[in-house]
Amino acid sequence: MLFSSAIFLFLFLPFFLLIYYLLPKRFHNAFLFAASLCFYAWGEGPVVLVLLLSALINYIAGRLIEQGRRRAGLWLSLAGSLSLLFYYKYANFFVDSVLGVAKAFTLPVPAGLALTHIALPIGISFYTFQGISYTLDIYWGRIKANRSFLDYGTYVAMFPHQIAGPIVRYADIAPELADRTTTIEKFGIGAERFILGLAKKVLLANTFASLADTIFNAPPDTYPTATAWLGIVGYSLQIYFDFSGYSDMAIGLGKMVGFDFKENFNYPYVARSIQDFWRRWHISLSSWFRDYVYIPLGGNRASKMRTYRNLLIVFFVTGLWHGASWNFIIWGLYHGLFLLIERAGLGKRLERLWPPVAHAYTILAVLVGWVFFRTETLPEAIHFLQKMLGLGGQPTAMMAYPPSYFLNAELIVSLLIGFVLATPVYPYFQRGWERLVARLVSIHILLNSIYVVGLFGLFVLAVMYLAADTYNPFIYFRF
Amino acid sequence: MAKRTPTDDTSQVVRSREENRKPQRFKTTLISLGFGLLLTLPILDQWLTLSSGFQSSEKRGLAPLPSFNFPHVQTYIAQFNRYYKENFGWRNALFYVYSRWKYRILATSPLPEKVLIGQNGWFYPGNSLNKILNQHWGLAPIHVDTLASIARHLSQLQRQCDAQGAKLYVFVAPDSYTIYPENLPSFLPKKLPSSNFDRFQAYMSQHTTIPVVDVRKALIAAKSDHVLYQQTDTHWNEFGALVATQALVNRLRQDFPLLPVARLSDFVVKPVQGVGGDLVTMLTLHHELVDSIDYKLTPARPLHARNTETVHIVNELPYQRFVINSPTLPKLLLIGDSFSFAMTTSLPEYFRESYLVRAHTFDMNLVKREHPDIVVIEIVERNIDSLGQL
Repeated sequence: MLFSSAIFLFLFLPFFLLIYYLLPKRFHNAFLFAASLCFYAWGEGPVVLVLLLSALINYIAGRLIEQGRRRAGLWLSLAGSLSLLFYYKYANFFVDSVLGVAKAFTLPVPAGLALTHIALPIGISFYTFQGISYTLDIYWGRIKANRSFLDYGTYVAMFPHQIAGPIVRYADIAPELADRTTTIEKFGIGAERFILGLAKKVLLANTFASLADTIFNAPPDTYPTATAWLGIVGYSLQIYFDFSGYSDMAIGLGKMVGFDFKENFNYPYVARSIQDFWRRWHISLSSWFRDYVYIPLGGNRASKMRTYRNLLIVFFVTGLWHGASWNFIIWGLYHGLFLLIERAGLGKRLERLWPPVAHAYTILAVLVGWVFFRTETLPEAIHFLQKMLGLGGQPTAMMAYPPSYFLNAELIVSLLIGFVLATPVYPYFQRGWERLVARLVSIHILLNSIYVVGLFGLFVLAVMYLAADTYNPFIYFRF
Repeated sequence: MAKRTPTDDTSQVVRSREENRKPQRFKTTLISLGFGLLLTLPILDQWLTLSSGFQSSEKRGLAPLPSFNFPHVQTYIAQFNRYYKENFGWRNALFYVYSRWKYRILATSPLPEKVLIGQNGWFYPGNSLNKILNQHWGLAPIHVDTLASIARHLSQLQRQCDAQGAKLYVFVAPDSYTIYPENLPSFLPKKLPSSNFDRFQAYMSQHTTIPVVDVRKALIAAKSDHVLYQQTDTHWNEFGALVATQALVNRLRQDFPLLPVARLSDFVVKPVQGVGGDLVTMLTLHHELVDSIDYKLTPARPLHARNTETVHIVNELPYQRFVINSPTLPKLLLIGDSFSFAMTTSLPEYFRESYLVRAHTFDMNLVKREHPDIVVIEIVERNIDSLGQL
């Protein structure tokens, strides 16, 4: 069930909120846990058992560590969580890669070695990492293990962050898990954040997705260089608004039920270096890798070469975390390489440069990286990059997709809004608006009403787009 | 002047903070209540049918509320998802507003896969109709293997028709893209070096003896005097159908000289106010966007053809039989799509008996039963590639 679906918005969410707020506080966790399992099972079916198994493994591991069986607990958590992740996410990729290598070197391959397709349980990467961070934090003495499986299960399964993050650390929400307050003010802040996230996803990300999908799915000889650039810009905006919109919705839903999740994005496209980009992009993931992989590997405390090695390892697994394909690994290593170069001296130079030049360098590096992220295979990525560079010949077939084909009023407006909202203009506007309201406090009812009407207008607009997505008219039956 | 104490200052700060929090509290309370209301409105609509004035124009059966059959939980969930997606409260009203938002404000098609907005008030079908846009863009050239398969299949049908004493023809109704390229959206090419229809025609003439009736020239020649296609629809109008009938009958006459010469003057053409066609109906804009003109045809002489049988089929256009009292004329069996429906007014006037069937499959039993002299397979240009599965 997606947050941006009618069934979630108009059936699951209202009933969930109604019951949640009617129930006494002591039942909140139990209800949130049960509702979250229903939410997951509705979309994923019996695979909900994988989520429960993962939660159970880490719950037991946490208890074992606290009872003094530290190594056994840690190994149970790592082996249990990672084997589930490996089986469901990477087994097909691993076997296919081995078979591919064997084929390339004409090695004999036993018949029947190929694996049938294993369906990926949605959110497994998120809840696996949450579980591992929980046990590692107990192992390192940062937190105490939760004695109640119900409370721990609520943390893991909680539907607001269940399927698309952010990676919420147990340590960050442990106090709220035990005791949290829900107020109408907090609910309102959460609802506002949710609506903004929904609008980002439905109105912006989906518009950019349609642009990017058309271009990336078109044969390369049907569009010119300018269209390739339009495609990658569209994709960059799509992935940002899609992911950050989802994080906004998660943060908003969290607030509605009394949790304060940390921010996951901080305007990554205004970064002035790749290092800066990773401080702003998917913060919960990059900080997870920093704290649980990079620092345990030694971080930057040893020699330069060790630091470079650690960086490359972190970005290799970052790539692999995003998906089981060589393109994701290349994308991760590509970013790792930039970080390495910046650490080797480029970073200092970038700091001294005129800021627009540093921004341009970062944006260009990120855009090129997204090509590997978006395309399915390496040859596809190379073809697309050639297209962006104006190599690989001009369109030979009918030139179907000149930029003018895409640039209608809706896309132009969306691009402009997208460019603006990818920078910290909205918080600036919001602060200014709040100052204005504070200054004109005598008419705050009018001003706030205007703001709220605008916010609800955005919600209705987003829901209109959702409704249109379900509208499938036929000219005639079977004609 | 009274001396201010620290307690006064503190209470003033607290009061001032409280004052500052007031607007924020008002805003968040308003958002909370409004959001709660917005979430429940669709449930209220499903319960109280508040938006019943907005009907779906989808021309399909929307998914019904499923019943749960234990232990088929997954099936139930899938069916319920579909049901809810297609029936949630205010859905039709939301699409109604969405359609106007996209068309009026953003000047783009509300359903670009279904409908393209052309120039000068013209609308064209989109890629959801057998990739028609890609076909006319040259992005989906019909493959030679497909052509070979079509030729084999049609030749087999031709042999079977011959055995029944009937001559087989293939009659292609051109797409509006072909006849009115000048009104296509500006990003589309006005003319391709070779269309799928051209390729089909060339292949058939080289590899088979099946006559392919091409009415493109006749239609293009006639369009300077009258509008031949509905501007808001996928189909030709009554006049376009008349021109096509005339061209078809005169082609058949080459093999059946007893057929009368078909002339436009056989009918009186009266211009009438156009209505919104199927394309704008899909967008729910059919009351606002209508054809600039339509035509009503009446035979110039007393009507000969009598409708003797109409077979209504659920969700299909009807089968119709017409007869005239001229025993020397040949008998026609036409198996066609919705384009042949508009020819019902004119086509039966030229045959002893006409049986007009709307079907997607060729049933040889019909030929055996009806004993026609002429069998015409009518198909719209965009669906030529499906002739192999007829």
